[in-house]
Amino acid sequence: MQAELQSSDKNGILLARIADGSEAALQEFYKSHQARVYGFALKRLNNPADAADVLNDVMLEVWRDAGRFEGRSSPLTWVLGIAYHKVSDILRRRGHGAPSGELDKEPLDEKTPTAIEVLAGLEDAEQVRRCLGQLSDAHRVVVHLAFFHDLSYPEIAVIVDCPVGTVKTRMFHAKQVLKRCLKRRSDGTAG
Amino acid sequence: MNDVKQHPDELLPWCVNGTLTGPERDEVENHLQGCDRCRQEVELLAKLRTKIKTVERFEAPGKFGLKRLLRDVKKTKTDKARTWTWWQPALAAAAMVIVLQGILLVNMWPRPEPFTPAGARYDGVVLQVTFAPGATELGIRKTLNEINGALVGGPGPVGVYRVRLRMDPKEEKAIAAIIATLQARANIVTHVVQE
Repeated sequence: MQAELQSSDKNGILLARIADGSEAALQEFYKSHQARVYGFALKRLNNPADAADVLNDVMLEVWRDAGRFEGRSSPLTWVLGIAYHKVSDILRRRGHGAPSGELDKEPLDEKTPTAIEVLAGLEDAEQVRRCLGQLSDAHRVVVHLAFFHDLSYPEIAVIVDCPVGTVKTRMFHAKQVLKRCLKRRSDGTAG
Repeated sequence: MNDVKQHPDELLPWCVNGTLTGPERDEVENHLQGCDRCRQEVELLAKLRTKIKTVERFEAPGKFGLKRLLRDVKKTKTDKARTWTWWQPALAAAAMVIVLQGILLVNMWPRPEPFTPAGARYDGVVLQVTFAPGATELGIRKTLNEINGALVGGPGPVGVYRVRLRMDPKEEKAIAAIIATLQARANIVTHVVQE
């Protein structure tokens, strides 16, 4: 936690320097955040070129608006929040609608397996990938931010601009969908 | 993170990624000691987290992305500078036009002329004079020199000239004498009256 705070302070200082027009600080900020921003955009857009565009747009916005960073969230949360809205705009233009209203395409009456029943299914990386692909964008974002970026639920709530309760609910539903999917695949009953 | 009265089940993902803090973390850890189901859930989520970090690997744009960003930053700066060099002189010119228009408007605005009685328009006394049709320039000049007068206006539509006398209007007798002198020169002046 101490290391995270130091990193956050360091990035806050970088943002202050960027606000003063330092290109060197922008380069440093880019190097330390590009993978997270790009990975986040790629996960939602599933298109490397579009994800690279988002990364570029986000960093340009950082360059222009670093002075607006108020330190109410961590620099990473702030920058992922910018990326979240940019990707949502692209998805909306693609006709995917608002991400918050999506439901997973899962039979609601299917019994959720226990953790023990699902553990075997986690051994196969391809099955995990396919099951993650079954999640709606809203649910996939929460899982990705929690398990890939290791963010707290209040941070995720800031990024996706919703109440913390909604983040927990989305995670709960995502787990249900993943468990059912993994169970079906390990049983060999997936279509 | 202050919602500690809930069942810890929904906090387990954040227990697994290590972001729970303070009483919330203590609550979950205490609960886990006595709950097999939640411990299994934690085991599942921990494996899922490890797997996600593996399967969601990708190659970020790296140097190429940075090069593109710096090019766009430079372009932004150039655009900004171009905008500045374009609108700064334009703004100055516009301001100059506004100031000039203001000055013009103030000067063109019809100002009320100070009231001036007809007789006091010129220093001294003004006489309205009609010269005889046969009067010569020499005769008129001599007459005007005699009375120390000067032509200051005319001829009007009916041939009336205005002649100023350098006198105080209060010198009524002297004025009357001059008018009499002019009336006596019938070959030069046919009509004379004080304004």
